[in-house]
Amino acid sequence: MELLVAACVGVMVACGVYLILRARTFPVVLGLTLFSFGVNIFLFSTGRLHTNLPAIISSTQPAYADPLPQALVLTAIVIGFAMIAFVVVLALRAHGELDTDHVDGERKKDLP
Amino acid sequence: MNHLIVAPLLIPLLTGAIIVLAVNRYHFFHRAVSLAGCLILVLITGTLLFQSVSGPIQVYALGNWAPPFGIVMVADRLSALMVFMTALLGLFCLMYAVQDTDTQGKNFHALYQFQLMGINGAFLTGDIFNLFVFFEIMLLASYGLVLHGGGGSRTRAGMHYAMLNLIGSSIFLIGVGILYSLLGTLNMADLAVRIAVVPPENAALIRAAGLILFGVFALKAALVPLYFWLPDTYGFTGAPVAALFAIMTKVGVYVILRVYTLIFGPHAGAAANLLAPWLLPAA
Repeated sequence: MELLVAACVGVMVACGVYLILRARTFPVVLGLTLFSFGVNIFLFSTGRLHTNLPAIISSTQPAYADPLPQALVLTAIVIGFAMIAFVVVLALRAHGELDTDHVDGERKKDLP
Repeated sequence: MNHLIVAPLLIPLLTGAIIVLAVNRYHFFHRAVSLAGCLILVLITGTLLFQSVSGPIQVYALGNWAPPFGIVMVADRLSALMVFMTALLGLFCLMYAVQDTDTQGKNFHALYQFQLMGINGAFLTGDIFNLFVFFEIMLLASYGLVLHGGGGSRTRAGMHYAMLNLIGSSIFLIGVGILYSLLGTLNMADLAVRIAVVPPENAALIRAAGLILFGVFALKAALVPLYFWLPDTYGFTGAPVAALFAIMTKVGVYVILRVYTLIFGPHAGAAANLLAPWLLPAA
């Protein structure tokens, strides 16, 4: 399980970074989304990986899953989602105002 | 507990909320409420500064949850001074903005108050995840303020600014996640205690987390290799907004001071004085 989760985080962050380095706004937005997904899963695993454990201390179970990373990741998801939504709107507005979807606002005819 | 410590958060929040209620009407009302909120904020933070100059470090446990488990606000001399400076700067920038800049969009005053709330929160918090939350409040309000007035160049600069800070926030979360997974706490004072007794096999990870966090704070503070976003963003935005943003980079400087003297200070065992070889070349 550790290997699978670590590979998931690694692949998502790698794809995210690749997409962020693109020159158009849509791949950049997708890259930011993937990157924040990878970070969220990483944050989730900071409480160590368990299965079938309660989130509170119980007398019948040998251990418990740390509830704090779950709370943190919930906060991070909400904030990240709001930020992504804002960047999408901003990218649309930039497309409207600059008449191009290049991140530096350069027109298509100016590009090589 | 001294309830004045949480007032620099609640007053801008309430003021902003009241302004949002009348968003489409009464521009004079927006200005009056916003100015009144800033004035009260100056008075309260002045009192707070006066108290902390002579008194001890004051801790405010939110919801009365005991410190390592709940979120705390801390007012010592440095944070009280920074909050007072923010309030004072906020008041004077607002006095300039009400002359005509604020009429270019209808949400200027509400965003301005939320921006002040985020900055004050980042200065006062004693919890590293809460610091992330206040960074985000501050940034979300600042994205709106950068775009205030509109125009192509502002939109382009604002887009760069928003995307860079989104990446920065994600990396911040990685750093905080590593610290939490190794030390089991998010309270800054508690982190400082636990980092001293970290086992040697985790020392390298702790140092990595510390330097990851430094990268993020250096981005916010616009230190040398990470300052490219600053000239465009500050140059294209409106004058009062740019003046208020001057204190936003100071949030980064303040957080570097706080985290790297308190958590990664000389008592931190394996991660002691982590920043000494890096900070001077970067500054």
